[in-house]
Amino acid sequence: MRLNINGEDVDLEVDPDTPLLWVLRDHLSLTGTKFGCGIASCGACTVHIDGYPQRSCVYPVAAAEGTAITTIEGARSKAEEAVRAAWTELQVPQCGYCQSGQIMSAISLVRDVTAPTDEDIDAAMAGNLCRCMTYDRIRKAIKTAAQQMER
Amino acid sequence: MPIELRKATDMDRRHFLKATGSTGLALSFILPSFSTAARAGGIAPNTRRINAFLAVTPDNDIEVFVAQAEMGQGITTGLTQILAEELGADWDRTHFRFSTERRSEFISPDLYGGIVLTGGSTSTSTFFLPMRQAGAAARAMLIAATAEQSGADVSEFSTNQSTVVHEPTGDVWTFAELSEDALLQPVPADPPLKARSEFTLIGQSRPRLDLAVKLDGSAKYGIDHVVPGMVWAAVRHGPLGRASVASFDGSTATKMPGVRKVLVVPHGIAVVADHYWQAVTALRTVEVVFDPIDADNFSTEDMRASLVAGLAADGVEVPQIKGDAETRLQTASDIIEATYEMPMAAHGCIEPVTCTAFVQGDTCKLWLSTQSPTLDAGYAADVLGVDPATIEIHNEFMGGAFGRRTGREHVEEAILLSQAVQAPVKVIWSREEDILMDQFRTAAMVHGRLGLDEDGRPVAYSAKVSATGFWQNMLPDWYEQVKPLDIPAIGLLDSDYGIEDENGRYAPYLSPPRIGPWRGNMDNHNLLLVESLIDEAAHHLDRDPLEYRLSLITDKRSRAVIERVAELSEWQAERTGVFRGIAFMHNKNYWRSRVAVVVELQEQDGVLRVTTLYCVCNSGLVINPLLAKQNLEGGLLFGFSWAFLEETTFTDGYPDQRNFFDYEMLRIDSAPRLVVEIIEAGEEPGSFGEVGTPMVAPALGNAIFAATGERFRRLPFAKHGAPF
Ligand code: FES
Ligand code: FES
Repeated sequence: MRLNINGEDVDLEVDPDTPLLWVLRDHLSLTGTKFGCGIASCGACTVHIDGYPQRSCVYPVAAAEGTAITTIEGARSKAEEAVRAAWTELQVPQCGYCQSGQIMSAISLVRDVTAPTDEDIDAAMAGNLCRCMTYDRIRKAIKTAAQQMER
Repeated sequence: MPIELRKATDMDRRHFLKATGSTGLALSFILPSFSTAARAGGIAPNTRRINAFLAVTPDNDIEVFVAQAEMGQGITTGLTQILAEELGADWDRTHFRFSTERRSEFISPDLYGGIVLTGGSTSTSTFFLPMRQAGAAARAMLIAATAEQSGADVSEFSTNQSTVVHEPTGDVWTFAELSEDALLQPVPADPPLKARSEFTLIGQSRPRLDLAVKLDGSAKYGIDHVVPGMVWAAVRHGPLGRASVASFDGSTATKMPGVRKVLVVPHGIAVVADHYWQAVTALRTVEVVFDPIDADNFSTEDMRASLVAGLAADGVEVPQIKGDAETRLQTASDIIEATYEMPMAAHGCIEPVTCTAFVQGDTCKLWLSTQSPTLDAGYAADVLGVDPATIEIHNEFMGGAFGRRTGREHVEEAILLSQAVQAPVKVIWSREEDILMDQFRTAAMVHGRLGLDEDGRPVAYSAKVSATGFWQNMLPDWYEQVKPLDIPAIGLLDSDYGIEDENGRYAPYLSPPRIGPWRGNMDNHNLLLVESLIDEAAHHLDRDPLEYRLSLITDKRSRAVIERVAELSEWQAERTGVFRGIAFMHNKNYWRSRVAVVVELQEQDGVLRVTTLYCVCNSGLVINPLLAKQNLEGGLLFGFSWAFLEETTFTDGYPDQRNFFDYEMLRIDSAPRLVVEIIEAGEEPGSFGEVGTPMVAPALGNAIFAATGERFRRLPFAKHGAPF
């Protein structure tokens, strides 16, 4: 099976039903994408498939063939820069475990929605749990990143 | 005129070694290879270790060794900042390092007779002095080396930006140039420390040193470590996570691709495979029968009945009983009496419990997230029948902890499986298993009677807590020394309200599910009781609950946090549909903290919505205001999450909630706004990690009463009748 991950083609042999998450973490040692629940309830495993956030823990690897997969390790874009800069300015992470997923969700939000409202943020980010409860800073950082995008 | 440094000669070195014996050698060893890097790249060769906590690289970078575990609280930044202050380090070139070393300096002397443990929000207060002394000792040795070689007096030197400065001439030498000779200097037993007025780093909101690696996926958590030749394991456990396997049929699983072995472990069945998903899918085909055990049909209703029975039993005396509360209550003008109830709760760290073990001959290496290498090495050593000092533990970032991260079961499973397949094995518990195997927060019922005199002042208090302590389970040696007391008995009494007669009892409940520490611990239930009863008293007397508290409290710092939270929350301002509740804690036991929380909610068409949490905290000296604030913010929303939503119930020996769709935790769409302020005081740091948590529940209950006129006494509020 051939996958395109972070702009590079990767050939591997793997059961087609394997969730993309475990292909990334176990077969390819791309451990920036995290496991939290395995049932699309926490968002820790969020990656981009053709630019859109997906929960890789329930995404069979076979379905990702022929797509462009982007993980936290390979995210590079104007939105990504704005998000990481805002995450740095607001010092968002605590334990940091959920943050790969938070950042991947936030990147597509600030790319697609200009000046996101609280409701936009709730809609885009409610699937990403943070047990350290960094929500207040996430909210502020998304607004900061969105302002950066407008410049 | 510039002064010349004379390099130490071989004669000096020989003399030094003779004078100090082997200590000198031990001090100057090159870093062991097993030290793991917190930032990209290993430690530079020829880095000089000055003492347990710091090393200087040839490029004049400062490496600070942090033994306390990083669970998100920012201890890697905070402790590094303390040491760098005393050393006079260049902050921009100061880094922290995790270490696998087992050194006596890493032991927390205040915890349970001395173990390496990150818990109880004690790291900063415990290591404040040792980190300062380590930095100050190194500073003194660097200066002494410079003085000796230049012939100038030590008083003429200072340190700044990782250099030693000769004040009269302005000449500077880097720490790197001096470090070899500094190691020849005697280690000062009591190096002079900076005065608080001289601090330039302590007290500054420096950005977190662990930030960058948490933005690009490169931070390594327990689940992330890749060991060459590693295979993977999935495990399924039985009732209460305690039953053992009676029989199983793994015939299908053993034939599945990649499967190495299907094996019984002490409380379940495990599949080891080349890849994790192979193990998971194969495990699904395994049929298991568990042996019956006591209480394997355990349900929450059984537990509640036992907790109620505990409230009726005598129980054991708690600390700080004074006067004769029972007699005084008989003559009180009014008695406020109530029972509050808090359920079991799961930790829900987003990183599930995992352990990677490699047992090879008589060596054993573990990679995992742990709050206590001492305890986990103890479990490992017990399983293997070896000396705990032989267990090597790799612990870097933890994906949350909150009291969960130490325990026998995952360590034991990884070790047994590694022995069985003769390879490194990574055990990952699915979320369902992580919750089943949790060391849950204890459920608690707390009952109190508060006697008021004719002026409405509380003069007698009699309280009882019915709950499970974790000392008995997790720290049996410690428990032997303090029994029958256990953690729920602490802090039941001794509030700031000037109550003269206080009596308290603890009724221990032996919980079938495992119980462990949980952010906020005993203050979650004991202060829920006090702060709710005080509020009930205020309303009963028709007094404003905040003013009522102030009328009773004389402690100036306590008053100041309440007064400030009143200002921030505009407590006095009447606004339609807006209601507020307050709670206050002065924690004298572990935390040296005063915290006031106001919960603000809005009522519309009979439905409540929490809009804002206000918090003012005085916890002594602040090392890094950014970190302190982050801890408070996290603690507040953590407290809100459990008070509002979180509950673990059991039916037939299993938790009813096994994953995040049914074990509900706070999400961003219900997270209230936060307004947090810190008042700094004194010379000694308190703590911030847990203090944000306990006061949210009583403040929320009090706010709900303000809005509805009804007391809800069973938590979480949103699941037991409050109109959210
Ligand atoms: S691990 Fe995929 S959403 Fe939780
Ligand atoms: S930062 Fe710890 S789970 Fe989000």
